[in-house]
Amino acid sequence: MSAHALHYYISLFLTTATTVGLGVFVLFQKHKQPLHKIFAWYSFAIGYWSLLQALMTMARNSATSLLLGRMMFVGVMLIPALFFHFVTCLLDKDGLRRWLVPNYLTCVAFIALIASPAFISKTIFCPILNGYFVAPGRLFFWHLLWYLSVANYCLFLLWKSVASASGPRRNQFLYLALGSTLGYLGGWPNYLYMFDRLIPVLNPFGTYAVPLYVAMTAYAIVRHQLMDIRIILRTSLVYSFLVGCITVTYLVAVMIMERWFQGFIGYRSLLATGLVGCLIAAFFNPLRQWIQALVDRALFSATPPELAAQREQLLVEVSKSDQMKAVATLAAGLAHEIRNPLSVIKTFTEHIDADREDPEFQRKFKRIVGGEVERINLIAQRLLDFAKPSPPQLISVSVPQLLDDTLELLGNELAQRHVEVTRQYQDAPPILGDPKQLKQVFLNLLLNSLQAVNGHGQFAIKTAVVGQHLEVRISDNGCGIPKEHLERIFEPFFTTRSSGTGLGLAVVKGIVEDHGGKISIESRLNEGTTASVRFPMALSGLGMNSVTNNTDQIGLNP
Amino acid sequence: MGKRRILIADDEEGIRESLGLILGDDYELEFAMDGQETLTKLVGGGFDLALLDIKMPKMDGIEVMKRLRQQQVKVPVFVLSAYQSVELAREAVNLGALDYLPKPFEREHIVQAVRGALAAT
Repeated sequence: MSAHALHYYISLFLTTATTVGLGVFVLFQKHKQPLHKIFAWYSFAIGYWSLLQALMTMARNSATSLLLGRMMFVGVMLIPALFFHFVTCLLDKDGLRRWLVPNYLTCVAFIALIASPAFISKTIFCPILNGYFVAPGRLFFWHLLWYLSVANYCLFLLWKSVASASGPRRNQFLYLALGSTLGYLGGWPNYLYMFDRLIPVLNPFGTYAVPLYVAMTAYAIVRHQLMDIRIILRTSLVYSFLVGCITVTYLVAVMIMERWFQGFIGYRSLLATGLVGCLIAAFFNPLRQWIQALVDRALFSATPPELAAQREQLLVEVSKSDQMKAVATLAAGLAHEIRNPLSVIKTFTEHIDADREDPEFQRKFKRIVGGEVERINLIAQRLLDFAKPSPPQLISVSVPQLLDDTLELLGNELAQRHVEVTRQYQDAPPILGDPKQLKQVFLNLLLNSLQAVNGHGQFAIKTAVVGQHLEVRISDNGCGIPKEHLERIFEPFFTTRSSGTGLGLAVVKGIVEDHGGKISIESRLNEGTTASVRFPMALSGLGMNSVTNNTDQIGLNP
Repeated sequence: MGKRRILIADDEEGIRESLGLILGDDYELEFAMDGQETLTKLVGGGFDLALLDIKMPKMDGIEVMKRLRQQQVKVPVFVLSAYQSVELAREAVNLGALDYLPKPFEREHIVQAVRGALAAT
């Protein structure tokens, strides 16, 4: 096989593999949008074309080649139709939507023509590829005109968006436009084989530009969230890529070494393989680190240790900021709580001079001032529980007690907003947990519910033993969460409130999972929301069932 | 002229006793610990003024104000509350309260407010 033919086939198969891979990846996105489907089909059309073109040239007789060539053109027709659809959706060009149907109809009309000799007349033998290629008929040029017009117009639209967009959108469009332009420039010389004309370099190397387009699009997706696809590349994925790279390096090295041995020593032996094996073993780690650093720099703009440090820093900030938020919410209420006993103490001290001989005053002073000081002390302790960052300490804790403590902290807010709280605790063994962190969980969930009810609400707080878990359900009858927000509420920084940091629930989830638990949230718009948190119970309590139910109510009108 | 009678209604002993210390020398004081008791005493009559907490068990201060209005009991009322909420203050004043006294309170503020209110009646 000639070098030209080799590159012709390799570039086509590479195109098939990469476009189908990208299409499958985008199609199986978790948060699928119609845009993703269109893009996937567009990718599949390109993959189908390149595969069929390679098979057509490989066919050993003219008739098979003609059939495969006609099948190939079905894919070729779909490419501009889907490209136009994709660009229209991606750029939100509502004005262009009316052209979608005519464009698809044109595509279908051309597909119907494919079988006609007026479109593809025969096959020609292409010596440089040592294979057959289909030859154009009279009507073929109309297809070419349509194809080039649509593709170029789409490229024009993409570049126009690059010029007008800003920020992350600009980067997304830039890589897509650049990649698409390269892809089309590299792909179109394949038409030249039909006319028995070639352009050096572009034939056969041009087709390599199509996988390059895939790589650039993938980069735009990974790095710049093209089509709003957010990816966290898992270590295993990066690792399998590395193993692939190293395997290829290994094979190439073995081939080269074997030739070298053959040339100089005169025999092929296991020695070559063994030596290469040793070399690979010696260089594996530095090579792996080098490639990984390269991948990390390209995709994440940082190496793993830097990334870990960044993540650590972010987590610290997140936890700090969330604690600050909770403290700020409490501070107003707590300042009030502290100033009340202070004013009582102040009044009593002001009367010491006048009434100190009065035994009645003395008794009251002792009882009331002592009680108020104790009250301030308690408030300060509660505040410290929330404000003071400390490493998680797992101890045996009573969840109902923690719930009560948190409710007490919010008592002021709950009463002010006329929220009635119903508590129903099933007797259950304690769990292993960090009381401060768990209080933070309940506080954040209750604060969210408070935001949702907006006055005169009802909270129901229940604990129950479910299997080997203790389940806490916090329900409100508030405004509820729209379905599209529900799947994103645990994402850090996701918020629908202008003042929110979007970290509350993210932190809650983190803490719950650190305790080996799970959290889920159900919600119905205008009906309410229920947060269910499950914690594994301490081993000693397994199998224990319900004993009693306690129901009581607190609120403004007990 | 005998001492003017004031009802002090608050569920917190510290607040009741503090107000008692501030006003006890100049006025005859009566105390109530919840909304129901407050209403009963005020309906019973004989008070020149009432200091009413908003947050009380059994019946809150706002509800007491409403009932007094329904039963056409006319007694000057100051509303006391820890919640410096404009809404609640407005609601209480709309229901006929003389004014809104924020908690924690200042001795002088209480003395002047009470003196002013009683001078006007």
